[in-house]
Order: sequence, then structure tokens, then C-alpha cells
Amino acid sequence: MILIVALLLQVERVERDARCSECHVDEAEEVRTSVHGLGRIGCISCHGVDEIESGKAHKRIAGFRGKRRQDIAENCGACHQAELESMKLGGHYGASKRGQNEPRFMRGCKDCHESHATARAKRVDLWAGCVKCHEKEPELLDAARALFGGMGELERRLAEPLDRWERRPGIDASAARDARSAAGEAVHNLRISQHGLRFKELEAGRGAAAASVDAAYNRLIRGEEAFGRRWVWLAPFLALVIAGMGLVIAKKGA
Amino acid sequence: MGLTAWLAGRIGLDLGERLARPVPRESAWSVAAGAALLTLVAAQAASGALLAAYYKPAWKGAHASVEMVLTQIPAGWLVRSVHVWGAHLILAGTLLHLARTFLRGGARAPRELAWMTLVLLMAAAAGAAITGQMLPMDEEAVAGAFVASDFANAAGVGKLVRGGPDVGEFMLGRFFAAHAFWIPAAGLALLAVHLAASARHPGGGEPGPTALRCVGLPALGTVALLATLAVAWPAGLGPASDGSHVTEGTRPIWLFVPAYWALRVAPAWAVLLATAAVLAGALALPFVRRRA
Repeated sequence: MILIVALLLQVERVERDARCSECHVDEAEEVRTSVHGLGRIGCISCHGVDEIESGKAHKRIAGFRGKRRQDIAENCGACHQAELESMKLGGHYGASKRGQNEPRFMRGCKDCHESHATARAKRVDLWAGCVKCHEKEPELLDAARALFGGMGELERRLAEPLDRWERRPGIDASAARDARSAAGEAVHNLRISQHGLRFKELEAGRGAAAASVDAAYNRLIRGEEAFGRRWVWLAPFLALVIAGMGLVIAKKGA
Repeated sequence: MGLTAWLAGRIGLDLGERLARPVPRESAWSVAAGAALLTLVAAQAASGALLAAYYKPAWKGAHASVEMVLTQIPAGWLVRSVHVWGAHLILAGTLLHLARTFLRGGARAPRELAWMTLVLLMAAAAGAAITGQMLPMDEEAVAGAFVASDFANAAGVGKLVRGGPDVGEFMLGRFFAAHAFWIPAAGLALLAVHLAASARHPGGGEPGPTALRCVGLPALGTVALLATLAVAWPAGLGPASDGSHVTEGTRPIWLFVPAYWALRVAPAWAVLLATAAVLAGALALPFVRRRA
């Protein structure tokens, strides 16, 4: 009996999300193909609507619409705890503009992130969003641009395959592998702590990670140069052979 | 002069005189082949002894120790490359030496002992190749170990070869011991008999080049060939094996490719039997009567 009820509830839950997608086709598709969708997080996981009747679901009070940014952040933070903790350290959370603690100054999760596609950050207008409030702070914008540009560059570098160097005689790629995985870990942590917007600390962390990766790559490149020079090793052998052959042939003539 | 004369007085072998002696034209190429192969054996012994200083025959750790030789030990890659190329050249050279000896009728009395020891040396070289292939413990090595284990099962000595029910650490230990001690020891004994038996019946014909030329030139040529191959195409190392049986993308050593093909159409015991028959036939060859 309990099993049947549970099964019915399960079906109902799926159907409820299915009902949303009848009208909200694009949003449903974005969620379905996102990490959230793969993790079986659907409409009601965030919107909290627990009624099938669309009339109730569309009331502002029922869903996220009209909710304060802080509440949204708390909701996301139920899973993304580290990001939320970091965010609370920064200026975007708690909203303080010249000491005014007003919700309208707060920036929440979906000011930077896509709501449904859950991409890493908004694909469009992310920078415009920064400029909107900080246009009179060029140093801040420059620092942010340098930091995020550098992070992206570092991530691209960490994603490059090491095939060129892997298991090549004379080249120790294992140190580079280790340095890269350590840097990858560091970048992952930076991506979490960047929600706290402490640019100096973040830039120092990024610089250290980039330097360790650079050092590992330089070792690889030096190893490759040494590998290219391996022909030098042939010289003593060939010299020995030529000298030996000369001696053997001369002996015959004598 | 002093040294060779002094040595001649001590061991009764005048090296200078011996090397200046002409080799009968008929056996000049056999001596040359032997000299080239002996050079390779010396290179294997020297490079193998150097590799053994760093190699760890441990189920987890063997691959890392080979990787360390390749990447951290100065010229370690060169020593290993010489060892791997030397193995290929010994297998190919011994096969050619066997074929040439056979075609020239070198298996017949009074050289039957030289022939038989050469056949056994070929088997020893193949054994060294099989056991040596497992040592790097990359995926290809472990795939080869599973094949060897299957053949051992077919011969009824699976447990003896593996040292346990599965391909594992004890099998690696046994293969290392066989590769580094048993097979070289047996090979050296066989080599001593082979050389003595070959030297006893040097063949006829008019005097050819001096022994120094017959031995020195092929030996030096072999050094040049081996060094060039080792530097030009350094032996690599595959990804570390987790000990599971991966067959995708793995290949046997070229010498065993026929057996590999045969395995697709025949059971392991049949392939083993055919191999044993070839070996037994080769050993019995000197005693097969030629038709009048």
C-alpha cells in the first residue's frame, strides 16, 4: 500500500514538472540539459510550487518571483554551501552601499548566473552587469578583468592535454601532472572563493597557481629540448666504432 | 705485446696470435654472426645489470621504477632503449643465424652439439623476451602476462609459473628472477658449450680474413647499429596497468605474432604443442637420417 502511494507520489512529482514544461518549453529544456537537470533537480526544486493548479503556481508568493535575492541565495546555498559562505564575505551579499543596508543593492546568484541553464556564469551581459554599478570604479573593473581573464587562461591551460610529453623517454611528465592537478584544485577553490570578491587574495592565489604550472611547463620544455639533443649520445658510440674499425683494418694491413 | 704474451703465459691463450690467425673462408660469416650476437649478449648483460640497480619487481611500484629510469636517471632512457633494442636484435639475429646454419647443413655431425645449443639458445632468448616483457608492468606487459599464463595453464604448469592462482605479484617475481638470473645463467652455460663446439670444428676452405677482422668488424658494426636504433627510436613505456586484463590495443612481441594468430583458430594447448614440436624437431634434426 505504502509502496503504491510512494509510486503515485513519484509519478505526480514528475508530472508536475511535466506540466510546467507544457507552457515553459524553453526553460524546461534548459533545465533538462543542464547539470541541475542531470541531477534530477526540476522546476519545483527551486520554485517551490507544490500545486498542480497553475493558478496557484503563478501567484507571486508561491514561486521565486518577488522573492528577495537573499532568500534565493539561501535556497541555492542549500547545496552550494561553500559558494554561499564565500559570498557572505563579499560586498554583493548583504547589500551595503555607503552603509545603506538596502536589498536593492544586493547582487544575488542569478545576477551573474543563468537561472535555468546553470552555466558557470551568464553568457551574455555579465560584464555589463558589473559596469552598471561600478562604472565609476575603473581600478576595480581592471582588477576584476585581469583576475577573471587570468583564471580563464589558467583553466584553458590546465585543460590542455600533456600527450606531447607523456611517457617520452628522458622527460618527467609526472611532476607536471602533479603540478597541474594541484593547480586545478587551487583554481577550483578560487572559483568558489571568488564569490567573496577579495581580488587581492584571489589574484595572489591565481598567480601562485599559474607560477607552479609555468614552472612545470618550463621543466617539460627543457626536457623536450634535452630529448631533441639526444643525438649527442650517439657521438661517443660512433667515435668508438670508427676508431675501432680503423684499428682493425690497419692491423690487417700491417 | 707484453700483456698478451703475459696472459698467454698464464692461461695458455695467446690472444694476439689467435686474432691474427686467418679464419677459413667457409666459416667466416658464421664467426661474424657469432661475434655480432655475442656483442649483443654483452650489451644485454651490461644494460640489464644497470637497469636492475633501479628496477623494483613489485606489483605496485614496478612501473614507477621503470618510469623513474626513463625520466630521472641520467641516460636511463638510453640504457633501457639499448636493452629493448638489443632484445629485438638478438631474437632476429639468432633466427637468421639458425636459418643460415640450417641451410648450409651446419646441423649435421660433427657440429650437432653446436646446432642443438644454438636451438636452445634461441629458446632461451625467447624465454628472456617473454619474461622481460612483463617487467615494465604497463598495460601491454600485463596483457602479455595473461597470455603467458594461458599457455602455462595449457601446459599444466599454470600455478608453477604464476606462483598462485592469478596473474599477480608472485608471477612478476618469478618472471624477474627468470629474466635476470635463471635464463642468463642457463644461456651462459649453453653459450660456452656452443662456442666450444663451434670452435672445435672450424670448417674447411682456403684461409680467409683474420679472426680480428671476422670478430672486430661485426662487433663494432653491431655497436653502431644498436646505438643508432636506441637513440633514434627510444623505447617508450605504456600507461601503468592496474593489473586487470586489458587486451584492446595491445600487441605481442613480433616473434610471437604467429602464435597470436594461431590462438585465434586453435586452442592454446594445440599452439603450444606445435611450438614444442618445432623445437623438438629442430633438436632432433642432426639425428634424422638423410636419404641416400
